[in-house]
Amino acid sequence: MTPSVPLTIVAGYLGAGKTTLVNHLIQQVSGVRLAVLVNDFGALNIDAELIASRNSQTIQLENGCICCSLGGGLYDALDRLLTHPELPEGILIEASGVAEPDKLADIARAEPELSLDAVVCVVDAETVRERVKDPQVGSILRRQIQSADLLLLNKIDLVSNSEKEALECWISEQNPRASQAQAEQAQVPVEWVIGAHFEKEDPQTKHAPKFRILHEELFSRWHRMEEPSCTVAELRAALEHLPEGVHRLKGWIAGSSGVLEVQAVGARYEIRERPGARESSRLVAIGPSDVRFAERLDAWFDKWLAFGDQPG
Amino acid sequence: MTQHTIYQAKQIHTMNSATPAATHVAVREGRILAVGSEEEVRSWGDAPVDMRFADKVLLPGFVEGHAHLMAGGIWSYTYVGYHDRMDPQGQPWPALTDISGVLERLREIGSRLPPEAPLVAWGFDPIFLPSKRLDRTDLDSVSETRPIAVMHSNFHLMTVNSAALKLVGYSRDTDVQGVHKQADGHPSGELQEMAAMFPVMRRLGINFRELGSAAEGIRDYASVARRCGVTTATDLFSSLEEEEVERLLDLTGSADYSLRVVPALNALGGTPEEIAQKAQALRLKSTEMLRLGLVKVMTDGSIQGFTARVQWPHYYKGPNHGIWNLPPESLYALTEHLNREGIQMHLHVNGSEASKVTIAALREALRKTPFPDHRHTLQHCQMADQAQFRSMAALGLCANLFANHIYYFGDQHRDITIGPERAARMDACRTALDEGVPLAIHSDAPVTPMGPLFTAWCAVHRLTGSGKVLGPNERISVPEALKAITIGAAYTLHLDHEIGSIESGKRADFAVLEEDPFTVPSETLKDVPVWGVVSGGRVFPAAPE
Repeated sequence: MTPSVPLTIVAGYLGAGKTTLVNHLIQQVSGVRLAVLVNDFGALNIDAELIASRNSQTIQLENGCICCSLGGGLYDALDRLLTHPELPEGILIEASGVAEPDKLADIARAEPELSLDAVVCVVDAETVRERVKDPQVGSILRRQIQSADLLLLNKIDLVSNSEKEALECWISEQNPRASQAQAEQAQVPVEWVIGAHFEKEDPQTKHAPKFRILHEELFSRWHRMEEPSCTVAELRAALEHLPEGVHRLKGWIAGSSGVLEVQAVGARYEIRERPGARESSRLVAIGPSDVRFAERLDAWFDKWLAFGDQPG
Repeated sequence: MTQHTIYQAKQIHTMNSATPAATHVAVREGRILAVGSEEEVRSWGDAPVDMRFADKVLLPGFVEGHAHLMAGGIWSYTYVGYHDRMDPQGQPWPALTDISGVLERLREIGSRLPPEAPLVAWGFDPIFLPSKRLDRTDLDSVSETRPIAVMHSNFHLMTVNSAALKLVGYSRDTDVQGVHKQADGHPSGELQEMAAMFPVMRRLGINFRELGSAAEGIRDYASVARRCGVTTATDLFSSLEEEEVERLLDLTGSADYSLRVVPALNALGGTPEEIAQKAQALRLKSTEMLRLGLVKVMTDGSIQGFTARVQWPHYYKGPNHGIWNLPPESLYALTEHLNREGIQMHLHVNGSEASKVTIAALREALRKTPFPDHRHTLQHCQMADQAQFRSMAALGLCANLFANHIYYFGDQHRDITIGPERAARMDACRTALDEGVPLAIHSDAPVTPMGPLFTAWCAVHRLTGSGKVLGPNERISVPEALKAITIGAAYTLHLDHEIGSIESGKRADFAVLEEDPFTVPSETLKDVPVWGVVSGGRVFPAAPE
């Protein structure tokens, strides 16, 4: 069977900064053949030297990214991408301002050739709490927030510190499962939004792509390579107790009869068993800026996954 | 000077109030030269009198103001609906009134296919077969190896067999809202909404857009239309890519094509500026038989799917899943721009909140840029109340109401979706006319079958599927209903100066009927047989001789 293509959904109401985020992402992606489906082709703002070719339906970028218009319909566009001889390594949908991301996520859950990477909801930090009172769109906005794995509080520079705290609390009440990040101008690391990008990075190298430096003050990374081995149940228990705030975690752990691949986004995680063995187990995570982030994850790992003194 | 032909008919209803009735009509160069008595028509010069309609009744060719080209292409699949239908080739498909009948037809069609070939059916309507829900085990009894998909009449659901489930890997572990499960956790075979249906559709090669744009479907659409007397029909939601436009231009331009097609461009496929430019460019490509330039704006979902935007107190029994297809703010921006650019809009509004917001958006747009004679039309507009109709009249908006819904879904609307009071004023034709809103009525084919006389019958009687009258005070008269399917619908398409009535100078488009819809008992209005049509002076029998 063909391996599934991870699908990332970027949702959020009008003006939250979805297009800014998408513009940022497509220019920063490197080493991942990403297909981006956008509603509004005209709103894309791509440096001319990045464009390899374009027609009325698609723009091909030098970095391997391809942007497709949703003018002909989402399902047609997805079908075309999935039947293309060269499969993309990741697909990102920029949802319309009133889309219900849960329904879009269902596409990835239903289609065997797709897998759900993450539902990312961009929130306008300045206006969201007023907006949800709107009788016509408030409930949709709420559902967008509630179905997210990752919540980006954008335009955070426009709110005061006290408002920021109140907003964080309110968002957590709306969706306690999701990890929150904050940004100005939707400037977040590509790997935070797109699992395929996160996936590509070799956890062994502590390489710091330019975003690392750019966003150092906003995000932390952690990685660990050891020789643990565990059962699916043990791994599941560990993931249930993942420290708060971890945005993404992925890697593999040697299982009793093969390799357990793990991927977590916000509070949602997936474990897949694959036959075969790896030399060592590796996990990598990205989380909020916190000098103790690595420390907390190490403690978590030692508590739940370091089974050195137990029979493998 | 070109010779003209005089047709004699038993009766001609012109729908032109100055000369409402006639017996003779003269046609020259595809247009009506004159209509009146034999003497009046002959005074234009002698010509042979064609007697083939001498025992027929002529009306203006019917105008279907809201349907989809897919109504032709869908017949490439097997029809399994609850009502008698006739396919574009004229083959009757008798109604299937229970599940065993559906399965029997699937078996019969399957027996003609290669063993592994998928079998796709459409038109299934569980509302009428309430005893048991169709599930995969039923379909497994037809075939355990061939994938089978039965699309429901609303196109939002389908039921598939185990072979199809296996093809897409659905199992008890599948966690998708639209994959319906049995009590024991296994998928029942019913798939709800696109996300759940898409994997099956792409593997079985079902593509709604292609059904609406392939050459065969375009030809079949004309056949479907002429069987019910229609000479002009919309395709009210199209992406109109270049290739599709070329194909439409080519096919509609051929001498044996009987239908004037009026596609409307999907306005959600780009920025307002892009849509306006595309619509204006398309308009310039219009021909006699293909009229381009209209734009369609989708706002909400459907009432029976609980996805329409319904005002307080919302739905009667059932969840409120109201959706917008575009944010209300974007609707304001879009309507403002298109209105400023002089582009006529057809706006899909089902629920009362959708019609309210859309009326408000159009009021703003028209306040900013007056657009005399714009004829923006609210499509479906099923739940508008009297106040909304008054606003529509004040703004010059037209209404194309979904009269067929009363018959097909009226019982459900009264008992489940919106309750008795609001259901009684659904698709309020009487109120629209009384408030002075230009009125058309429609089928939304293939959602319900195209058949303007049936649609007129629905507006006249407001009978539901169970035979109850839904809101007697919203009934309209036979002449009013016949006006709505001719000149009324033509008005909403800005074509009333060319079609919609039989008068000198207009296109020679006629519906040729075996009986007189004005004089048959109104209960049988829907049963008046259609002989065929005349389109631009060319004669097209419904059943090719």
